[in-house]
Amino acid sequence: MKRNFSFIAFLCLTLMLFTSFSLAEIKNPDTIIYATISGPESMDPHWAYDTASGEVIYEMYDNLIDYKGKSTAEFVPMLATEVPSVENGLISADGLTYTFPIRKEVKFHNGDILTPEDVVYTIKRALIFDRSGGPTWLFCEPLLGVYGIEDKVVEVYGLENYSDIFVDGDPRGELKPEKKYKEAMIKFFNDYIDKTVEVDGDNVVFHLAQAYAPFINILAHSGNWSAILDKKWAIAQGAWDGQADNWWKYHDPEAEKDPLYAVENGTGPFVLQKWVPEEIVMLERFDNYWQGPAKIKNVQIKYISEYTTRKLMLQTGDADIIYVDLQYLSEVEKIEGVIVEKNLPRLVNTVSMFPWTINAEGNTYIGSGKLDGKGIPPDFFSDIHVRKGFSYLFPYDIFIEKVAKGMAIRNPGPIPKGIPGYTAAAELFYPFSLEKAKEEFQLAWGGQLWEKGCKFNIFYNEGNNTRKAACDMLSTYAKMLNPKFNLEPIGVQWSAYLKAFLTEKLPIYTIGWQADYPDPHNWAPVYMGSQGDYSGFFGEAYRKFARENVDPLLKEGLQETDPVKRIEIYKQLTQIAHDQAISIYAYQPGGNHVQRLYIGGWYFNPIVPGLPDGADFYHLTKGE
Amino acid sequence: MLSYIIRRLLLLPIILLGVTLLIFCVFSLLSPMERLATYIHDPNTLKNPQAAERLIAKYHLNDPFPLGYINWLKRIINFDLGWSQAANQSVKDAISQRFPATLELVLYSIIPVILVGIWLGVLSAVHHNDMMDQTIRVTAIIGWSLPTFIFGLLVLFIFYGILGWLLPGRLSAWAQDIVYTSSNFHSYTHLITVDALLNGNLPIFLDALRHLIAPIITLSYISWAFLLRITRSSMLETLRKDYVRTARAKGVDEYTVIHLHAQRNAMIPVMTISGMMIIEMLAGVMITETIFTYPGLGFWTATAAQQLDYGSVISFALLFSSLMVIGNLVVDLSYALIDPRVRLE
Repeated sequence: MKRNFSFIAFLCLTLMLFTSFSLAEIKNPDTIIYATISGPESMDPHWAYDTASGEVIYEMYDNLIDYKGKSTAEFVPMLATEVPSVENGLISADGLTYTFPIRKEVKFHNGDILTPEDVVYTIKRALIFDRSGGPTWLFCEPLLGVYGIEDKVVEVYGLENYSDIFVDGDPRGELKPEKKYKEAMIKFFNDYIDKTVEVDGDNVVFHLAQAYAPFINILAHSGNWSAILDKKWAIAQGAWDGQADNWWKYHDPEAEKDPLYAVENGTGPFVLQKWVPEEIVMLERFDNYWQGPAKIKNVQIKYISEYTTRKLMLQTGDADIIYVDLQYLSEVEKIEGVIVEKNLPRLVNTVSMFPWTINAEGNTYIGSGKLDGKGIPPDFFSDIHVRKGFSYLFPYDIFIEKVAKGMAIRNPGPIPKGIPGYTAAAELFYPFSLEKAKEEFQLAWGGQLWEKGCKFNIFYNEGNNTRKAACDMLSTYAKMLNPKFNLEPIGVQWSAYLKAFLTEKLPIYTIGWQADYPDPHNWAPVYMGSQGDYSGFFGEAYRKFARENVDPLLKEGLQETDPVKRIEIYKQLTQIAHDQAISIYAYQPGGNHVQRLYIGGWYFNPIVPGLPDGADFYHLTKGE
Repeated sequence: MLSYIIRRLLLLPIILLGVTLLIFCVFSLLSPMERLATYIHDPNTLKNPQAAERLIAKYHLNDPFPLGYINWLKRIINFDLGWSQAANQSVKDAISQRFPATLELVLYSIIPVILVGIWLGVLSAVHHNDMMDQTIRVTAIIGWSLPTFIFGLLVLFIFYGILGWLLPGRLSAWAQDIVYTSSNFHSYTHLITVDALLNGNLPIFLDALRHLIAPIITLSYISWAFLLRITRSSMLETLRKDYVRTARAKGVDEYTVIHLHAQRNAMIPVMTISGMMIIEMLAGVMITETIFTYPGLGFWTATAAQQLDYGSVISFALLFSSLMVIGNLVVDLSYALIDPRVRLE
């Protein structure tokens, strides 16, 4: 009996020791561990166009300039020693020339010293690399006046397709053997690529194809695409050798052929120690960082898809910062020693869109394809009363309160709060009003819509519960308003969604956009331009309208150098978005940050990649 | 027996061809635009409709089925398995990174799964209908009925969240630092426990083992339940046989009757099931890997399938089919070992 009691007592003591051991001390005191959900696609700044890659590249590389602290409008020098402006003469009055004096004695991780030639190489390589679906269109637009280098080649030589000059039409193969093709490509490089940027003493000078107000933003530290490479090192890895006579061989490679995919050599505060895709990124402090070494020695970013595991890691101190989805936020708030920052203003929005012309060919999403109560005609949303009706029908505030748990705000148009050009003028917000919706629907299609009703699908990508809720709400209120209105929410796999989007077969669909840079030019064209990333797929009727009414303003806004005048232009665009009820600008969600109390130095800037969930690790401390 | 083995192995390329052809066919039913979803996760990366066409051409998504399959076969012959969009690395690297993790987990799980499952099954059969049998059966039913996800989370919550005894992942942060970045640590097998011993690093061995225990418990319990039922059923049938009754009548001790006579004869269906279970586990156990953040094959292949990453899916199918054929062969060979009456021809 006594022996059993002693044994039990020993067991209890051991249990207590184990339990208390796991909670008392700060684990891994020289390493900050961030647990999030998905990993980077690439370490190549010119390949990566996803947040996960961006937040790692941000730590390893520097850009010419950086944002000042929490600001998205003020800049500080980084690898450049001055931020160009018209006032200091480093931006020409016509906005076509930008000069950056380059900092001296900055070391890359391998010990090479930064020179202006590295900057020039980086930009030219970006233009040449220009992978399909990548970020370097952000350079092509200001420097070449087109979205991609292939478009420029096509434009210059009057081709039908870029692939026409390659054997078997394979742009990753050989040029056609006739001498003229190679000569033309070399000439193209010399006439266009080479002239976009040059070294001038200790300076790097950019020559833009058009005045481009957000050019400074594109170069700032939040953009991995403008992270500065070490030319010598990049060439040694097998990247473009800087010559004109073979640049096309380095254009748009497949991922496995990108020599910079898994390696880095930046000037940033952290060095890549190890990357195990979809498992972990390990960063080590760069002690020779020109701004002084980071306070924390190591950073580990772990990719853990299961929320419960991340939560338990936070609880036990095995993770210091974790990604938490909105629906679980209330759980982590209760954990001792954890702080939660809520509703941080992100530069993201979600919009439900009305294509003015829907591709009816084999399209089951629009039912009968006629206004007969069993479907909708392909040009259903070209009627402004239809669009206005739905704009009044969406329960914005209820959605924000119930689905977004109060952590979102409304936008009146495509430009979210925090971006210049945003306006909160009350008259631009469509109120949720069944009465006004009814009035509009009764006017639509000469009264036929109200009488006959309609039936079609509204889309969300499967697994996205927030967008599903938005679709369900719209459907419910439509039915409540008129029982003949049958909007059937449908969740589809991403592949089906993408196909329907590209073939312009979607009726109402909900999608979002995250800022590449904090300027209205990154928003308004997307949602309103005739070639917008989204609005470009609204059908020819919309594209015609946009060419006449929107594109001129977009161009004016882009090229206007006076910030006050720019804001007015974008306010005009917001007015158009309202008057034409182009889309339902559903909400701009807030973000959250969850970390242990002993982590210091965290700050929020919505344009820094990975924030608010992650961090700018350079400024963080642990346990101090 | 050797000719039997050779004949079975000769079937392997035919099976692999058939499996890959089937998967390729299925993926070919999707349009090029649907297969583009593997490469595009957000339409905002397509600046214009031409961008989609360029990507389709770049990745040969519009190649006719025979051409696509032949091109893929040519690459396979050169040991080029292609790129895994789901893993963001080459398929070869994805498999060589993840398969050792799964193999390590399975190897450590086999022993408790098979030994304990068979032991409990035999025990249950021998104590048929008494308290021990009932208890074991109820435990088996619970294991059989409990979703892996729930049990795994319970294990994680209790043994990690509350007690802090066991850990998710494969290694602690300090151990990862050494294994992944130190020039003094050499990965010979990529099985971390084995490599740790080969490097003479006991702390890493113990750390890796500590990380394995929770997924082993989860996998084992659910697998025991199944194996236990099969073993029990097979043992009960065998114990009713005449030769067992004869052995008892002749005065053979009960231990010999059960373990030497009955158990061996009851093992054939058990070996078949065990073999299949091990092979299936080698294919990756997605839920267990997800819960315990264990970087094995399961999660990767599930993600690849979801993202229509057919290069990864086909390569995984190649691996799994090979394991299945070899595994089946080993199981069949084991029949001959267990039952000398079995002749493999």
